[in-house]
Amino acid sequence: MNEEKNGPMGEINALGWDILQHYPGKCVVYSEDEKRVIGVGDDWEEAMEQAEASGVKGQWHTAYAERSDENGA
Amino acid sequence: MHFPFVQVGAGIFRPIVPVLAWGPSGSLPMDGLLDSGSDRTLLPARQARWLGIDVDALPTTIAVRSATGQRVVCKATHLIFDLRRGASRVCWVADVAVTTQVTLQRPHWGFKGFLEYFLIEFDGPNRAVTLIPGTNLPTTNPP
Repeated sequence: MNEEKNGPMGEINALGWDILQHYPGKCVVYSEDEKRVIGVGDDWEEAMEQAEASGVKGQWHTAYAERSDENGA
Repeated sequence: MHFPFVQVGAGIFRPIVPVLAWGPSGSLPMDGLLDSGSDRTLLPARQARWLGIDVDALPTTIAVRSATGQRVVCKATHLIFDLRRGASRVCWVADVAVTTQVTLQRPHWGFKGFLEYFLIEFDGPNRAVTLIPGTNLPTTNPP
């Protein structure tokens, strides 16, 4: 992991519904630098592998996209 | 520190708070659920590994009973948690339970390691949560 991967950040916001609604039930890796999703998977292993394969450096952000038809309990 | 609830479905909003977690290899923002029903702060193993934690080598094993009654086996470790909002920033050393079980995909900010350090106001009408650091917060310098 290099210095670029740990670049300084300001305020951090949770990933929004506008992004996550497209990936229900998936683990999502988002590039804060490129403002786009770079990894999606049924589990974190798959999502992180995809993100690593993208070659995108800079700060990543991880979030789980809930299934939109499920209420939590 | 004021965080809006996050929409996770049609008409469904949850108190999800982004934390910048720091480990030996770097940092990773992760969105976790403020979970007053969880005794521990729980993290999926893959994110911990990405931060440089050798999960398999961690010596302390913890058993956690999930909300659905499942017994989840975790490993105990410490990470620096970095919370930022506006001009405010707090960093502390958090006790974290790491699990390899894939049933846990979203981090949970439970009592030990997180909730034990904050005064928390859940504002349902305004769909927001306010976190006020307590005097017991084990603050540390930002990495």
